[in-house]
Amino acid sequence: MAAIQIRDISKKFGSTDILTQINLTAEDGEFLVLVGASGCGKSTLLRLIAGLETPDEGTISIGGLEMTGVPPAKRNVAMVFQNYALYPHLSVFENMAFGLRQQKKDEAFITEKINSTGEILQISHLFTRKPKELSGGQRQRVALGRAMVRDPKVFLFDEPLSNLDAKLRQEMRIEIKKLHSILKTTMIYVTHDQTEAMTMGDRIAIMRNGEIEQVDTPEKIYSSPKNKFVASFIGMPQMNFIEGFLQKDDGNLEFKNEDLQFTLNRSSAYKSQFENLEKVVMGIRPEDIHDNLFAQIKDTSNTVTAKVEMVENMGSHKIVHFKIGASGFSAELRNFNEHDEKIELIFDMNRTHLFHPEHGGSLYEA
Amino acid sequence: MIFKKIIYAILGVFFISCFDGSTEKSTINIWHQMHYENRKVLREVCNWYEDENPGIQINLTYRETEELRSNYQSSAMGGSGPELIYGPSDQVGPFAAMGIIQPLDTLFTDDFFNTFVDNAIISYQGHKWMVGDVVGNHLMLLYNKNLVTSPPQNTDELIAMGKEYTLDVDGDGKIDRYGLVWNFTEPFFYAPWLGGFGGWLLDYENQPTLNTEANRKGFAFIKSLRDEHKIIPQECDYEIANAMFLSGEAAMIINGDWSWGNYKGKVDFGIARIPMVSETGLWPTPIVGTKGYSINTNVQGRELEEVNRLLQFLTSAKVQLYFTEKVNSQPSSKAALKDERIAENEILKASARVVEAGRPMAVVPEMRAIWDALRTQYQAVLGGSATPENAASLAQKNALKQIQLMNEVQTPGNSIWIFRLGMFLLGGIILLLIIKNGKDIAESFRENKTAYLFIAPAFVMVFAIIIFPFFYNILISFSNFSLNTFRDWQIIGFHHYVEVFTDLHFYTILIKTGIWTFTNLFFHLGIGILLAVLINRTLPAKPLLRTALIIPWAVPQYISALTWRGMFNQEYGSVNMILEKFLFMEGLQWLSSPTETFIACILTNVWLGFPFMMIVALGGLQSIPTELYEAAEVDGASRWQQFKCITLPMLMPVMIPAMILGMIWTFNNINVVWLVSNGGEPSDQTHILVSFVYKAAFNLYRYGYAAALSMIIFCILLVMGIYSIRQSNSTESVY
Repeated sequence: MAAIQIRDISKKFGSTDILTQINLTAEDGEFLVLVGASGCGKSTLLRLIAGLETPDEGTISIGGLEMTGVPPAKRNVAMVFQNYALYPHLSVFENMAFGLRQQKKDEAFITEKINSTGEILQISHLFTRKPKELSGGQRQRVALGRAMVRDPKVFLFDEPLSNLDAKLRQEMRIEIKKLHSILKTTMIYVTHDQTEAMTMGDRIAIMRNGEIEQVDTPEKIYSSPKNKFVASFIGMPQMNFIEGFLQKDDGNLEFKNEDLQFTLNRSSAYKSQFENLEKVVMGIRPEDIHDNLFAQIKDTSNTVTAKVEMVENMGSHKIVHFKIGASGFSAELRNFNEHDEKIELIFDMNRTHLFHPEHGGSLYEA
Repeated sequence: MIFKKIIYAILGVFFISCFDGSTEKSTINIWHQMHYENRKVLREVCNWYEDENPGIQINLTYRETEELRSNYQSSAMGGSGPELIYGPSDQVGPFAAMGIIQPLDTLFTDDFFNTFVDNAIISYQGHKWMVGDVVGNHLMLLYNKNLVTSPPQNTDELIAMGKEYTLDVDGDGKIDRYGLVWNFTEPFFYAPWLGGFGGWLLDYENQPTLNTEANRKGFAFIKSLRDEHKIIPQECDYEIANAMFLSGEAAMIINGDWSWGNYKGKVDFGIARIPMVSETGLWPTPIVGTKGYSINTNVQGRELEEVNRLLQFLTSAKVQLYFTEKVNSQPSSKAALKDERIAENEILKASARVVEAGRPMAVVPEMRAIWDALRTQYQAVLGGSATPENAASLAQKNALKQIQLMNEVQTPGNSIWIFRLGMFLLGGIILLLIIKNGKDIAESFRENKTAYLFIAPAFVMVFAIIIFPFFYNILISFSNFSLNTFRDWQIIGFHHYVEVFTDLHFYTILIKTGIWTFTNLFFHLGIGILLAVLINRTLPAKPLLRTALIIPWAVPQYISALTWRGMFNQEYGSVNMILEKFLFMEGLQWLSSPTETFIACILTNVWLGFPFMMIVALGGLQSIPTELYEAAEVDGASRWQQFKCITLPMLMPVMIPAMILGMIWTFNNINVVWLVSNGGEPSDQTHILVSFVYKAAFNLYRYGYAAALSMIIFCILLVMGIYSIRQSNSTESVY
């Protein structure tokens, strides 16, 4: 087991910057998820840790040992690939044994190791099969098994569930998480799927354009996004954003635009250096907008009437898209009559966010 | 219904357009083997004719002499072919024996024939078959006037002058100019010397006369020019001799009258007889041949009249004089010879003196057997593997044997009963199958009429190109089809198969073919995969390298093969130059000793064949996911282990079919062997099975034998192909 420390890592492909000045630490035994849109550099970062790429600048250490120039095999890491990368002409058993054989382990050890791993992953009955005779889920288990038998200090996952269907993905998510709780090994997991990130990670690192935007626990990332990008990236449906300006009135901070006017309750947490800022972006998650009829909070100053545009029925709740003036919103409502054309909504001002109109940074103290 | 009508309409238009327009002009095809300069003149005179006769269109097709002969044989036998064929007189004998050209004495009067010199009308077995427009085709000594003031009169002078003109200008031990060059390994170019020593190729009864003192002396003389007097190059074929004379690297050349057009304006040359043999006091006797036109036996009726008129035009004094004016050819028309332009032509006058010493070309089919037997032994003497005495005696023996084989007419033996029984059984089985499945087949036809209509054109093509020839070949292999039974062959049973399997020579060539195939395949695959891996993974400028490495494959095979033949030349070839200059090794006699020639053929074919495997491997490599290598890298596999455990097994599914194809192509690759070894040189020892079949079929007219041999080759390949596929499970996909 080992902690991973990434210091000032930069990487370019040709003249394109892929990663710029990345600093990140994964604690010993931690499950760290790297998440971001495609092309953000998350896979490159993972490959740098594995040693499949060399950084242009900066250092990576695993378990306190500097890894620059150390070949992948000597880093004691195991990697699970998106398309499993199983050797197609070898049986499941041989696939799992491949790495051990390269390490010149004796046959008895190899057999025992593979058998015990096979039991954990419930793939013992597949040992004699070739990869093409396996389903996607089985292949993924074999790929996991191949990584596990080597007892690596670090597991690296490169979007391992992307090729599976939704149901299987959910199952495997739980399995990998369980595996982590058994093995207690440091795991770094790359995904573009925020659900995987939120459900699996001890901590999440959100990446954009080769930089890390925020590293934190899933709860903190959700409740206190550092900037507009993080706020928009995490959460389904996406957070609503409204442009407007601030006004101080009797010590209260008010948010206004042509169509709306709200009194902000969290003004005490407002970062003082932005006090003179007029234009801001306010963010509010769909679940923080309630139907006035059923809402537990009552706040007449933050109640508005909106025109319903469209309703998405999700079963347990409905996502209602509506308009106030020119601004569009969506809200997650449990009880909603689909035939209503207009609705009275209440915005929970304790849970709003304010962002800088240009760089998107949060205007609240963390 | 509307759909059907549309289809019929489209097919109707298609067929009408296929046949449309051909009725307006009648086309006369001429196949010829004229040299480049002459070809242009022929086109011009044909244009005149077309202008005068607007209803006629003349198509000219050039073919190299051998190709002309074999292609004409096949097509005329199949009832088609060109209306007129132009070539040397020695093809008249075989063509007449096969009955594929018409006797001309039934078409023209003696008055017409009398307008030509005697040599120009070629007779065989009492009929006239060819009208020659050029008399000559004879060898002579051509000398570069800038170097040689007066030509040598006898061989002593020749040797003395040869030594004088053979020079190593820069003193690097390499000869920069030779006194004399010529295509001396070819028997046609040796024949004049045989006459000079008092002998000849055959007697008046068309029997070979090779085991003579004259022949022994002739062999020894040519060898001495090269090895003792060193006035001719070590290895020299026609092209090299030609190039050396043109560039001034040779003072004299022995060449034919056909070469004048090529030298005209490039070398200031003079013409003389080949020097008299000092020992005997006799002039060497070049073969005087005629080139001319014969008429295809399949031309009849009105078309025949048109062809006759064209033949008269092409052999007319006017046309012959135009040829003389343009390319200095020697006319055969008496009227043309009287023309003042001829009388005043210095070159033609000198040439006429050479002709006086010459002997007419024998047109009998036996000549081929004599040439073949002579070539083998003559080259063995030059290669140092036989003494003149042994060679002369063997040449005679082989010539007699080949003439016997060629003229042999097999009659049905006992095995015909086995054959008939086999045929009867086969017929019975087919009949049974038809009876059993006839109903289903008929029903299938009724149900899928449109589908069958669509596949019909393709089926007709496949039938005509593959199925019919294949079964026809099987039939011929059981027949006595040969020179003398060209039009009335009959089934004789398993004779040829027995002959093949009891001939030790067959097994020798089979082993050689095996070595040829597997050595080539090994290097094709090895080099191909190696280069593909290098290009795919590490080398920069991928597209550029890929293109560059495809070039050997993209260049037509015969160009590469002939270029390599040039490169293997002992003295001037780049291969020996590299060996000598950079590797400090002694140069090899690449093309005059059997093992080296075989290796030269293999090297050429390796060069030609690896790009295909490289391209296939490259395609295969690109379909291997990079993650596999990354996974292996993380697993700690070295580059070699990655190659062994990922690249190779993943390549197999694409490489196996390519390998089987490569095996068949290589096994059947006649081009490289034939062109690099110049038809099996030295001494007919560089053969693989297909080149051997080719020789049997087209040199000795033994079609039945050749067909049986080719069926055996087919079976060998079939077995090898099936075995490889079974062994490799190549059809099993990896994913």
